[in-house]
Amino acid sequence: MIEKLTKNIYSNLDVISANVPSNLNFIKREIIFKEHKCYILFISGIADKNVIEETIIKPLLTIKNHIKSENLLDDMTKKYIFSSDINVTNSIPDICYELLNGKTVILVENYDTALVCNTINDNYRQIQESTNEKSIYGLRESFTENLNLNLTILQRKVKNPNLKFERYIVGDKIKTELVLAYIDGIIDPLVLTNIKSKITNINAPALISTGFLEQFLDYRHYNIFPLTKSTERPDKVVFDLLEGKAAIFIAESPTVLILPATFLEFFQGFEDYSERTIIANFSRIMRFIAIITIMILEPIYLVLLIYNPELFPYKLMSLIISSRQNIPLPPLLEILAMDVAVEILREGGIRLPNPVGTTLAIVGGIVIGESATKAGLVSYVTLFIVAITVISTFIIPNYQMALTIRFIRFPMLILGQMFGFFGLLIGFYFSLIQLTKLETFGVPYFSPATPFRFSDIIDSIIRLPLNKILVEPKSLKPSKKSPKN
Amino acid sequence: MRYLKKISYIVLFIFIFSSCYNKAPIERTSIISGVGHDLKSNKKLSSTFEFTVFKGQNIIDKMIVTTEGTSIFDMYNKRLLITKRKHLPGTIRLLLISENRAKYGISDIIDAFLRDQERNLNTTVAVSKQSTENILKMNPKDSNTMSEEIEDLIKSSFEANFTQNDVTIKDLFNMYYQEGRHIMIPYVEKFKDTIKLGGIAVFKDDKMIFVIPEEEAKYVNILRNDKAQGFLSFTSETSKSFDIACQSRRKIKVDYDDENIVYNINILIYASIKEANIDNSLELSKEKITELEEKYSKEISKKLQEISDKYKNNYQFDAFDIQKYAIAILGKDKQKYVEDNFKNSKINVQAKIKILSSGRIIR
Amino acid sequence: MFKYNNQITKNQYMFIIQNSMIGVGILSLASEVCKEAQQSGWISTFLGGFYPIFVVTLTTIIFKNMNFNEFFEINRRIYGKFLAYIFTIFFFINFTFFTSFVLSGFTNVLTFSTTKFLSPYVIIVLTSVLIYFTINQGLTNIGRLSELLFYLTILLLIIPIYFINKGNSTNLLPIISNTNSIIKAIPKTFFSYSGVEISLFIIPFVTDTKNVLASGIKGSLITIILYSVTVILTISYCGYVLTSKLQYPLLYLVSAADLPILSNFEPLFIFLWGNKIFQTLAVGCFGMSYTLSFIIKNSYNRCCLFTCLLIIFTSSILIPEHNRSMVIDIVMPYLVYTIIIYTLLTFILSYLKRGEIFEKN
Repeated sequence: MIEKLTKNIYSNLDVISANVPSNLNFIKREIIFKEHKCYILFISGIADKNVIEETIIKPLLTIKNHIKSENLLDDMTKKYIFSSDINVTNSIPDICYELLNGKTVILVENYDTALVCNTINDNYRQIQESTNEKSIYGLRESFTENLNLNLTILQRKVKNPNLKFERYIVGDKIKTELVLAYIDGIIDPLVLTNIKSKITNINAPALISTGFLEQFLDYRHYNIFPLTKSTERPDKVVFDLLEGKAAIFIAESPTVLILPATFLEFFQGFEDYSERTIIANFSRIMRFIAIITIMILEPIYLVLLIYNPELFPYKLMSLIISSRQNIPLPPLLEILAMDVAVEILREGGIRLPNPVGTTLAIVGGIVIGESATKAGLVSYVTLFIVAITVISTFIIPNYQMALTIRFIRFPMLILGQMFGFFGLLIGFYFSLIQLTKLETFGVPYFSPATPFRFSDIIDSIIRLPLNKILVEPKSLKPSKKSPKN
Repeated sequence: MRYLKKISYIVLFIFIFSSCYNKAPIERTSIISGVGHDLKSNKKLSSTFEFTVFKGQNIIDKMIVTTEGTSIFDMYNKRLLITKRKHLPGTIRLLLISENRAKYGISDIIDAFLRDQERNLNTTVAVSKQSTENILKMNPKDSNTMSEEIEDLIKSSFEANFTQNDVTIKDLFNMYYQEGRHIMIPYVEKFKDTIKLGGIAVFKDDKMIFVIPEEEAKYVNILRNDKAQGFLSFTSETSKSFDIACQSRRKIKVDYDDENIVYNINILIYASIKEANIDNSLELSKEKITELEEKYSKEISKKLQEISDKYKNNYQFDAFDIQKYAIAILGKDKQKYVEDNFKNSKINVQAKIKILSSGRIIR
Repeated sequence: MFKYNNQITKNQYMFIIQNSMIGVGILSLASEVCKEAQQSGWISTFLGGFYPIFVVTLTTIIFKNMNFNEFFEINRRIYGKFLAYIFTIFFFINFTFFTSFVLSGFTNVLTFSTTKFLSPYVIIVLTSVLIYFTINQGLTNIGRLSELLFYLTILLLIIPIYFINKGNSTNLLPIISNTNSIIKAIPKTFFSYSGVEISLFIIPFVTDTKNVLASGIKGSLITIILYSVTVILTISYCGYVLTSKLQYPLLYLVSAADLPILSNFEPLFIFLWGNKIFQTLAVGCFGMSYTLSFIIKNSYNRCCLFTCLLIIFTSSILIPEHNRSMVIDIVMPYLVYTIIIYTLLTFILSYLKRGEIFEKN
């Protein structure tokens, strides 16, 4: 491929045409300007036709002045074209890329440079309230698919001169634009370097959403814990930027990736900070109880049923034995069957339209549970245990983490079936090893619990009053070694 | 990937060689609710097991099995020939020992219950007057099994008669092994078609020596137990009485001079008046209450002193759990000395009633 | 994939010291001391705490004198190449005994209480695999885990405190009846306190060496207090006769509670304590692998594998509890006295050589 433009306008046109999809919507408009042949190239739809007509074609064609000029391109940019954003370039790959972005390219006879005018069609979805992350007190706006609009939203909220945006182009097959946003001075330089080097080393054909990006940023392909958060709420992004994190915007994606994310913050609801201290703490503690419930309630029940029934108190034991009379399934299959049914219902609920999905989850749950117990396939106590576990999963604020925690109970169930209490012990300790050895972009995943920092731990499992905790967390600053502890 | 392969080899290895798949499912178990130990006339041991029977969902019945043998696990072995389901020793709620067996000695029972890790430490222990088979085969009135009923009987008795609340097997171990203490556990007997609490069985080492009868049990209990509850009534003539609901506190002070040990038992009784119709014109002013407190304190002190002297002189035996205080002062190696000199020691009982409330009626 | 990192913070050093001692000792300690010291066993436990504090203090001073070089380097400079090699082998053997005692004890407790159905060898193999994953990441990961599991120690302390007003003070009186027997019982506590020798190996990795002595002593004190409190509570609840009869008095104590959802504290206790045991084992195995990598001049990660295979073998030999306690009774005094003499000697020599300037390598 020829990299640079030549003075021959026809060969230029050929090269460019060969490198953009030569579909019907690739428009090559020919005009004569001051006796020179010009081509206006754009892709209709991505580029805004009205803008091109108003700002480029109209001024160029209505011109009366026929004075010859030294530099026609300079003349054009400085005197005639109304567009606010014009670049001059001679690189063909750049031109092709900008064309695909919706910009307009003007080629002029006998010049080996071209003008690139910003005529991007801003006709995107309007700013709406987030449907996935609802909140009572938070903002009503969420990010859209329009990258520039997203950056605008963020810029409007962070009136800080140190807010930095850095642009990266990633993708072999389809080039995708990423914008890394951070506040200089707050973010730790080591973390920033880590993030930048990870981004530049991404080797992917294309990045379609933040989920793809997240996986390409993590080299441990079998790690089940999310190392980044994604959100579509600008207020969350602002809050995290202030804590010293970075955000990555992807073009054409309404979700933003926040990184680095540590384990404990996945269990902090954003609303915690809008509520009174004690109320917020209450809901945080409920969340931690819920996590423990999800991970170990079913396995413990299973272990007690099959290996250690003597550990049930007397009254509970006669209840459980009588409820399990004539149940044909062994306990593990019984629990797994109910779990799988619930997971299928949940998955189905997501795919269906919103009101129908909710109804399916509730009605399906009731019907399946009721019929399974009536038919004598599943005991009432098992159903109760599974129901409690499933309800507890709804309390985890982050969807990715909820999936991970939900998943953990399946290996735990199998370990419990195989080794009883010892299996649970192994499962628990193994997850701890996995968690402590993880690092996200230089920050230990389990900080601030380990390495222990008192100033940060007061905003993890519990939350002290806002005036004590609204400081930059030290645990996100690995380059400032040797903390005073 | 090599990493994953390694893990899967290990997991596979353990899967194949672990031997944990022959466990009886919980629905094939039944719960032993109580076990009775008895002694037959021909010096043979006998034990009775009471367990629940599940027929379909929520239908619970009970059954008993009695076997004879020469040792506890000999009988256990024979029982397995009769029973149809797996039984768990960890669920036993009640250990009932017949009077004959208790007099014969229970050291084997103590050892079995202490040694076996699977056994529950919260089993209630009682001695029965009749044979245990006779008692356990009765029909329970308000529980599923007779053992639960006896357990409930003993647990609910804490609210009256100042009954001891150290009735579980772990308390029995403590009473057996701690120096200067003796085993004292509830004594139950058949009463019409049910059972009742009939006093306290007193052991020396592992053999029962006598039973404190129902009438005196209350006073022994006041002397023995701290923080116990009960009612005291002082009757002048029929239906003219002064009744109080009490909570007792016990303090022991041991004085030691060259020869004799002096035990001072101070009992403080917090009381609320439940009935007082001794005098129709009674007005409960402060002076009157003080007068009543003094009068009845004296009365109860006298009664308690009588009881303590009786047990000290008749049995030369510490039924009030006070020797441990002497040993705590003299040293653990003086246990024999304290026990041998009990008959020469002196017990002073001082009881004081403190009325906290007079109820709804004040005059 | 096989990368490891050994840097730890001062806090983590404290928790590693604290964790390295919570072994099987916590369960059987009360029984051992009550056999000799009767109701004053807790005093012996408390006084036995002299051992970890002694080792931690002298170690810190030695390393301060020698400018926080690594263990081998210090030994080489004090004793010369040959003796350094001998001492390293001694410590390797010491840690091998220590971890095998702990692992076999753990297995015995598990097969004795909650998982009677499992073969002890399965427990040993699985635990070793877990330990391999822990130590393969280096000391940093062990430090982080210790820090995290410290919160479980607090829970471990809370369970016995449930019995605080259920005991009887007469069981503890008279407080001291025989001083001789108290002193005689002190060596019995050394098994429970052994493991603290790890401080000889990990001090050079502490990033911030200011006040590291205080951290070490704090870590030891936490364990000493935990031990003393559990012994006091056990004696006050059971009396010394029963306590000395029981194999695992603390396990008896926690299973005496009557609770509504689980019938007693035993499974909860085993769960919390099991996590601590994994940690203790990890610390011991780190010591083994670290010394082994010096002895056979091989990479640390490979030594981790050898270590884990070795302890599978050694702890399988010690399986029934009476077997294990016999070996402990024979071996433990020698190890402890050698360590005391070694520390003392090194301390004196390092004090004499402290004038020489060693740059940190």
